[in-house]
Amino acid sequence: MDFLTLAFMQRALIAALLAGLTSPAIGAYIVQRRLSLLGDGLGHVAIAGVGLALATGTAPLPMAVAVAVAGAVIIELLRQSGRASADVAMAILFYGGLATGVLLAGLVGQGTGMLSNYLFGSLLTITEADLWLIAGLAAVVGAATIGLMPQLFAVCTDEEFAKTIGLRVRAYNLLIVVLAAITVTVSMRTVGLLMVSALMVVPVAAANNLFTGFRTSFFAAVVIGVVAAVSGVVGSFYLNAPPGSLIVVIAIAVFVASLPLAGVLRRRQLTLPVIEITDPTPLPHQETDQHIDHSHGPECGHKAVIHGDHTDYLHNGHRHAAHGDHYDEH
Amino acid sequence: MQVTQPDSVIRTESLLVELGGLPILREVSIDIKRGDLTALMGGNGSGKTTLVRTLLGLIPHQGGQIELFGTPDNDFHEWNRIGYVPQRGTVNIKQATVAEVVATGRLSVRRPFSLTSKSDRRRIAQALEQVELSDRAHRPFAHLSGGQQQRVLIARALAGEAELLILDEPFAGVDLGVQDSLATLLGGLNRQGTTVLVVLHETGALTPLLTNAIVLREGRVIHVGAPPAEPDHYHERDERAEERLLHGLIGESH
Repeated sequence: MDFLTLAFMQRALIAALLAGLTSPAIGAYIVQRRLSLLGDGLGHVAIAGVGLALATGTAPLPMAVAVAVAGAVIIELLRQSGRASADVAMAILFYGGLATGVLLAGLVGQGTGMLSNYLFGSLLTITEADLWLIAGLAAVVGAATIGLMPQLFAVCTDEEFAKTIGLRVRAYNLLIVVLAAITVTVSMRTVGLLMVSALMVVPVAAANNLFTGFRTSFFAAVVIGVVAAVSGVVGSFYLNAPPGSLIVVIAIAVFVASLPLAGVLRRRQLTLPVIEITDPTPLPHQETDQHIDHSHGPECGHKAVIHGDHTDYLHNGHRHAAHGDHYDEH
Repeated sequence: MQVTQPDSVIRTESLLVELGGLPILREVSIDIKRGDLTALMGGNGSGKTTLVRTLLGLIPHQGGQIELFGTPDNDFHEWNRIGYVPQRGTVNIKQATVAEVVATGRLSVRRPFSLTSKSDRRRIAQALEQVELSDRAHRPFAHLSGGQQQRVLIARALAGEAELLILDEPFAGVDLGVQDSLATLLGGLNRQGTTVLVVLHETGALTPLLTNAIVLREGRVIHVGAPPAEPDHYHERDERAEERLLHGLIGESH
């Protein structure tokens, strides 16, 4: 654990912790709103900010924040305009951001070598001033994503209903993209602008496989995000690789591991099809043929359906329900 | 300042709504009183969904007036008094429990950055009880049957202590038995004092419970008053009516 004594590693670990906390927190809303690739686009826009900072010799992080937030506002206004051309306009904005950033960095002779620290993350380049700014921005994202959870959840799941109960839907939508833009820049130093979107989406996807309910999955995704970000930074110290790549690979490994578990959990959760009893008069009593050597149960291999207050098992196209020592046709 | 409780819950006067330059609703004047259970009917494209969306403030109107609970719509802010139940097909909630979906209905009375209060929890539990889904509170919404999802959306609207429920085609895509149980639920809520406005393609299971019907055709009101005796004259599709008739006959032969 000697890396803990290195000042740059301490800074990198704190930055990773904050990226791991904030990215899945805003990602939970973005996934619910089916905008999984929004973070990717915002990352591209932020590259223009980094290029601008390198060209003008100013600090890259504040510039990236300003440019990404401005880009986020434009994206949301384009989306709200509802025009068909909005989709193309967004694509132009995203690639325009990437191209501008690379071009500006190249013009001042920084080239892609310097820029790659921002594209894929870097352990060495985080300054103390960066860290303070990252911490401040992370606090804003954390406070909003947790404090406004019911409101943001309502807006992401059913915008029209949210409007009818008097929520300021446009303002909340704008808040979500602005928070996403801030998160992109919070994670820029550790995960890198090209891969930040993965840390927003993949832990949420894994948590959604493993847990039920928005709130539970939200906090589970944050835990997965923190584990992936911190272990990725530690691993990249030993492997001498850009931390962003390792963080994303670890997050995806968690997601892949969650897939078979999700199947098991889903079966256990008894999400059986339901047949509601709407006519209270009982069915005429009709016994099935004798079941020799077979009793129906959760593990019997026959598909089960919930029928009112009991379970029926599908057996050769019939629905069999237990009744005393025999089965009835239902 | 309004001192007496006005009798009208929804009143429109010569309402005009245009979408993309085309008039969708013309000269629509309706008056829904407290305690009514009104069906808003009409064929496809008659403007019934546009009318409820306009009443809810989701679509602007180009002419005429709307009053909600006696207040002109521009000055109306008590949105918690109105509970909107959208068509189930338009709601796509992936990762949420039933209780979480119902809890969003409380946001009309909750402030941002506030914690879920005891009264919020009590009201959510009560709303789930009213739709008989208390045992499903912690199940994923997406795994429920169509009729159950519709009932969750009704509970969400009730959670804000709505006095007026507006439902958009609650019977769409649910089978006849479930339609009957939803009708019973709406009738029960109406008896307890909730005013109900329900957009319907056909009256079906609700017929005996309706106090009023408004029928639209090509954006105009063509009937106001008693529920039409033969609602099927007002629209073109009647396979479902035949199905219901058949169901009724089979039901009686038992």
